[in-house]
Amino acid sequence: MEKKVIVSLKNVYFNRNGISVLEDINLSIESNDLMAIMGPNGGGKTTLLELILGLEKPLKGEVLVFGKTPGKSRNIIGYLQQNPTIDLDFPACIFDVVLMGRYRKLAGGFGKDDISAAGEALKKVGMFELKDRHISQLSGGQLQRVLIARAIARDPKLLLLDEPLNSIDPEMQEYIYKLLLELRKEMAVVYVTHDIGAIPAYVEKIACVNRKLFYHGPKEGSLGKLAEAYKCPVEIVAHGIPHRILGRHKK
Amino acid sequence: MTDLLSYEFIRNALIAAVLVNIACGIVGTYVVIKRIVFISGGISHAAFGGIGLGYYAGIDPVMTAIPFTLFSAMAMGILSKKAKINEDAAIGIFWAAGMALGILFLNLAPGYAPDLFSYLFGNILTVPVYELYIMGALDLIIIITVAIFHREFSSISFDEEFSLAIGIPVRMIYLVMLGMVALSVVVMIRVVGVILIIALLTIPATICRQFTFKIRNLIACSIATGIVFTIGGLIISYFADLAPGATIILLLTAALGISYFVKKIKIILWKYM
Ligand SMILES: Nc1ncnc2c1ncn2[C@@H]1O[C@H](COP(=O)(O)OP(=O)(O)OP(=O)(O)O)[C@@H](O)[C@H]1O
Ligand SMILES: [Mg+2]
Repeated sequence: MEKKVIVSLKNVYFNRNGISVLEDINLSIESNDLMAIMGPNGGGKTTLLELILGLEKPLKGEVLVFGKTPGKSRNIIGYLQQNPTIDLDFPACIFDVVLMGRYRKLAGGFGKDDISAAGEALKKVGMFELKDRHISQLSGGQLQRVLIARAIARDPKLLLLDEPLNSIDPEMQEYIYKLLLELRKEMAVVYVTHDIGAIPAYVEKIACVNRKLFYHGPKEGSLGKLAEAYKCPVEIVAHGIPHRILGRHKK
Repeated sequence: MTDLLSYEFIRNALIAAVLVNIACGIVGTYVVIKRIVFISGGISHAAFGGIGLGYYAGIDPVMTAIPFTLFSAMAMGILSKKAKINEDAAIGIFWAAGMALGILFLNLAPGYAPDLFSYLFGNILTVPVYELYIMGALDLIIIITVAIFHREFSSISFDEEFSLAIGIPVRMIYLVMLGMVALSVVVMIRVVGVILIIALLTIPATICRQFTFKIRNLIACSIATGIVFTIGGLIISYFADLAPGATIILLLTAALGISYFVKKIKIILWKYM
């Protein structure tokens, strides 16, 4: 499969309230990449996704998404927020929520293909049986899966998942990793995690962000850089052993 | 009962009850699910300034209230999203200033002192025919707006950040929503008055959301509930010689209490059968 660059950040700086959050970031994402963005809390991972989505503007530098300024390609990007701002009292069943992910343009409607895509997405995360339930009647992990379904229902070319495995049980985690592997055949998949243990063997690319981009590239070379970013040893990544078998690093 | 219908003012009141509740049922549903009750309160009180302006200028107050209320709604919507201004405070300021402006205009208005009371508490029995046409037109605008933007309204009510990320112009849609609130406020000023508008926007939708989680059903149920209790309140107020606006609201409040009770019983029955 021919790879081409779909997202590129060049010398990007970003401040929040005058405090530097990201400095001199150079990063590129290619089509069908499966990339993990890692880094400690407050390292700027979420901010990086927000820059790619065009929800935030860089202070300096250039962000290009599918060759355009960010925000111009929202129809082909799927997004899972780290802390979704959803209203659980809202009158909608699970299916309605996933259908919202199919939104394409102002003043349109949802058609047959939208309905079948929403159903497919729910099946992929194993939530189809509960599709008529009200959204308040779900556990945290189930809700997370529904929101992942909402992101993939868009049939995006780029899927940005911010901490997708939050409150997902180990069995489901395994399942979702497999799903990401499936999905990457169709799209680039980028997911954020602050947990170094949560990088399975088949993730090839890692970007390590802690205000600066400490490493960006194939997994094998990242060992030393990760240690630098985290200030802790991270042999696991280099060994490439599936994450579940490994113990978490000790503080 | 049938000879009651032969009075024109009764017939007008019934038509007004239907028209008002179409606006309320639709807009109230979004006011409740988007949680913009407070800003709607601000808008409805700001409308009072528009009414005062009409008296001052010597034209029909509804005609000045429409642009004035729309303008206030937009200003509140824009200012309250500015990071430097606290949203609650911005709304409160408009609330008070609109009201004060209305009073001042009325003070300054030439000629006789207008019927302030009817705008504060409403009087559905004095709705002139041409205002029914205005209400009908505004209803139509609201229906068309919701038909076009219902997906956007739902999406920004449910999850604003995600809506932005998938390309919904969230700001603009929010202002359109506030514009609808403003229009429905103007529609209702005559009937229930500025003070009681919030109740008619919120109570029917609050009753109905206990029983459905489809927005379409919620809207239909809110409209029906509103119509039933508005007309019920009218009949009671006619025979008991009470203020219609206040009677309608108290009836709705009682209905809300009863609906909670019914819901509880339904849940209990569900468990034991
Ligand atoms: N809304 C905000 N206002 C001000 N500062 C913020 C805001 N959001 C994030 N920050 C700051 O920006 C920096 C980067 O935050 P970001 O959310 O991108 O980190 P993260 O890598 O996603 O962390 P986490 O693992 O905790 O999710 C942090 O120092 C944080 O304090
Ligand atoms: Mg984050």
